Amino acid sequence: MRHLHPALWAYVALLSLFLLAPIIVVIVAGFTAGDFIMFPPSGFSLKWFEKVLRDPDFIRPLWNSLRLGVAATLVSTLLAVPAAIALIRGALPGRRAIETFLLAPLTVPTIILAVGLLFFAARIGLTSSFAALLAGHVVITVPYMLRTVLGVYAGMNREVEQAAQVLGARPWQVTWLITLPEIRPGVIAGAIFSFLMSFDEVAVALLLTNSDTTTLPVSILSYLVYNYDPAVAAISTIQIAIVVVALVLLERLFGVKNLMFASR
Amino acid sequence: MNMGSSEGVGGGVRNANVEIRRLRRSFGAVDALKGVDLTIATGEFVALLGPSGCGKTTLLRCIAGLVTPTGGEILIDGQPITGVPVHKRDLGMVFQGYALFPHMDVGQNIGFGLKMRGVRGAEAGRRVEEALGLVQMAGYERRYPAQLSGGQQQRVALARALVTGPKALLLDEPFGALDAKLRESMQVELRRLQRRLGVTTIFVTHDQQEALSMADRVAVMRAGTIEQCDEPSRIYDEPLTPFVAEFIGQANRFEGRLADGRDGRAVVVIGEREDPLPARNNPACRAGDRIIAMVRPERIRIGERGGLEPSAVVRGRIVDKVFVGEKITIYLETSAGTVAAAIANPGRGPGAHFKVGDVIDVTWAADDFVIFPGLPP
Amino acid sequence: MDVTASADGRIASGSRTEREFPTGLVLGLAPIVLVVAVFFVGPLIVNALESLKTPSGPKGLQQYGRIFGDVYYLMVIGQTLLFGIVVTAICAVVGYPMGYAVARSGRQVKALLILIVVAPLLVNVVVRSFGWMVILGGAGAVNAGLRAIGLPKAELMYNWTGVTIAMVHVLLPFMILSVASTIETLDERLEEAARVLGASSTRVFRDITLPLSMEGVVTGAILVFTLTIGSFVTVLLLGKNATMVLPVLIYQQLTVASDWPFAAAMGVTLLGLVSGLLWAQAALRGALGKARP
Repeated sequence: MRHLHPALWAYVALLSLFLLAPIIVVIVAGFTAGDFIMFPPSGFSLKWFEKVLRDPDFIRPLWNSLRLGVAATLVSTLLAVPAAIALIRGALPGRRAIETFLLAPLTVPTIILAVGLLFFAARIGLTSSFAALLAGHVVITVPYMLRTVLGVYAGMNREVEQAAQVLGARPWQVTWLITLPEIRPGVIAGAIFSFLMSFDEVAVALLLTNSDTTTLPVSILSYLVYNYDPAVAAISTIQIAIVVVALVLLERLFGVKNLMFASR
Repeated sequence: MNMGSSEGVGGGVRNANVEIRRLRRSFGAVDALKGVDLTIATGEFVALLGPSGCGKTTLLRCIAGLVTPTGGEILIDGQPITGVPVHKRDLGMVFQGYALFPHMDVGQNIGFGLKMRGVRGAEAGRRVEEALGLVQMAGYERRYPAQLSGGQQQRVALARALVTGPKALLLDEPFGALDAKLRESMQVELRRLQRRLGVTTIFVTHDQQEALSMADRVAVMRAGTIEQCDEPSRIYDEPLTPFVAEFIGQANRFEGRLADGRDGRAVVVIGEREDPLPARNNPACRAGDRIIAMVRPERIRIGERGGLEPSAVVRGRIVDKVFVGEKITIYLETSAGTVAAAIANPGRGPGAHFKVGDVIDVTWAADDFVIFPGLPP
Repeated sequence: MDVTASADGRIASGSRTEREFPTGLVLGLAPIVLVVAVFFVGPLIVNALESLKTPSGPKGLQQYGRIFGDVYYLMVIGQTLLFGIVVTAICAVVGYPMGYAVARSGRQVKALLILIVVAPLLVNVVVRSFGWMVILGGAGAVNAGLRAIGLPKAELMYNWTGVTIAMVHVLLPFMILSVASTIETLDERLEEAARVLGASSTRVFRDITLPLSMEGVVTGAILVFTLTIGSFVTVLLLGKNATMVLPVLIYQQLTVASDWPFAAAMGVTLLGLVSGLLWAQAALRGALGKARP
């Protein structure tokens, strides 16, 4: 490949192995027939999957995570898209400052957000765990969405908006009929990434969930504190499968290839 | 050319005349438009021609409403449109980048303007079909812009702009992205279409060839003002300023003084030549003034004497000979300065034997030698 | 975006045409600004207030005194920072070649590599850490391999080694992607010009590619460092109590000791460290930007 050193390729192969190792290990470990975690596993069996799928202590949190992820992504999208359009069209003098402010949560470690939110919720008497969780996850995901949509809209050929105006479209019609369809692929890429952020999030969930609203990462974490068996591997494999299936589906539906774009 | 009014294309367009008065547009310290006056008659095809930064695109966008002027006014059919938002101006516009909606097919693109006006269903379909027929793209309704070539996209953009029967058609360097041959054929097509429909058209370009070949009148712009607005032939043969003379076609340029002429004829002293040369009168120049004198290379005759009177003879030595296919340009060093003479490719005829180093005589008619007031010292 | 006349006379005035709906502007921005102000700034303020509480009643900086007056806590802060530096350094060195390969490979290979690099991010950080527990643990893959070739068991769990390996794994994708995106924007013609001028491949890399791609490394480093010193799941699972860092300490104070004001003060300290770093980076960028012509 274009004068790249063979030593580099060997390195790439090795590093790829390193990157994929834990994932492969987890997936494989879930299929073990034995009662303990070991690698290489002993025998092949689906018994741990059965156990996990029947266990409400795993299925409930999985469902919670999905719900929370979808809700947080939805809210973030509804907040970020109009904001990005307003920021770019409006040519405000303080645009830089506003953007920095809105993107600030990206720089704060989630443990701090979690702790602060815990205190905050107590202070303002927010008793609903789901509401607090949602608020926390929205704060975490909305900067990713905003950054993505800003990037997509700024890179769009705006002449089509002008053409629509000359053809008789009012500003809201331009947004609805032209702008939104145009930026849709980018928005979806951002939404996928936001969903993954929420699905993966531990700190906020750990501090703000109660027994009803436990999310998957938290339940796995607490399980791990006391247990160390292939059930964790099984539920993890299921989680990976869900993510992969969702991505493939979305790729087929919307042709969104560029996850990389959203994650920068 | 005025075809009255009705709603659709083909059945007539609601064309209008456009008046621009003292139009100004500034961006901070930069004056993009410095008081422009221009009237475009109904059904007329006017080209706005000029180099980058002259304000031609700004002017067009002011008419469209995409840019708000800082002074002056624009009237369409006698009605001022200052304050009328873009989407209510009822104009058609074609952009350099085509600006077709990528997520809609050709039919939806063209039908967009109709949809905004509440025309839907069978009626809209009929008019879309008609518009596609006009630009020779019948049957392309279901294709998407990404599947079309540049020329095809431009045609669709044109159809989209015309289908609503706009009051005027605005074009912003629409053929800039096309290759030379395609550009030429599109120019011919556009002109034919415009004549057929009689739609008032304003066309921005930096290509003088394009402007001269298509327009009824050409407005040559520089640094925010219109230096001359005239028919193409007059722009070419009777330029009003040195800039126009040099921007359009080629010109030999000399600096010198206007001497006292006998029998009212202007004579100029240029370069280091002592004998004055006869030139065309320009009332703006008085005897003794510094002047700029210009003559087009193709108006210079080689090796002839007599012919048009009055004329003068200039002797020079050939320093270069450039072959460009249909013509040959010969560069001479003369006492007046460097002279470029362009002659039609003579093949094996007279002129073919000239070599660098030859000393020859050239001549040109006084009427072809235009003068302008010169720059102050 | 200001409306300026660009060199070719074309005015980028798309924004000016929307002056017709300043209300739209406000409507678009208000919700998000509100949400961020209430649910982000709010908690931070409350956190700061909480950290000022003292057992005796009056507000003060006593909690901070506890942190900075105790050698143990200072050591934890030091460990956290050191941990961040080590992880960042390893990620930079290990990740750079991969980033280079990603940026310079052909389309299909690039897509595959990006998939590989991004794959870990698709998996829950708890699960990833769990994976490392399986690999590094006493009965895990590494030790199974070591045993097979007759080597003694390696203690890789519950110490800094295991935690570092796992942390590097979690954050490597960020470094790789950052480096890759910077190298991608590098004009290959610069390297070609250097070659024509007589530079060998190594010199081209050393004198041209590496310096110009430094920005990507720095961006990645900032990101990795910030994430490292803020991370607590990985350290918690793979280090238990043997490797104490600030975030884990905060968590402990909150849940085990239920000492909210103390936890809050440590949170503010952590935030201060992160903010200080970001501010320093921005200042450095500004200074470097002025130095360049």
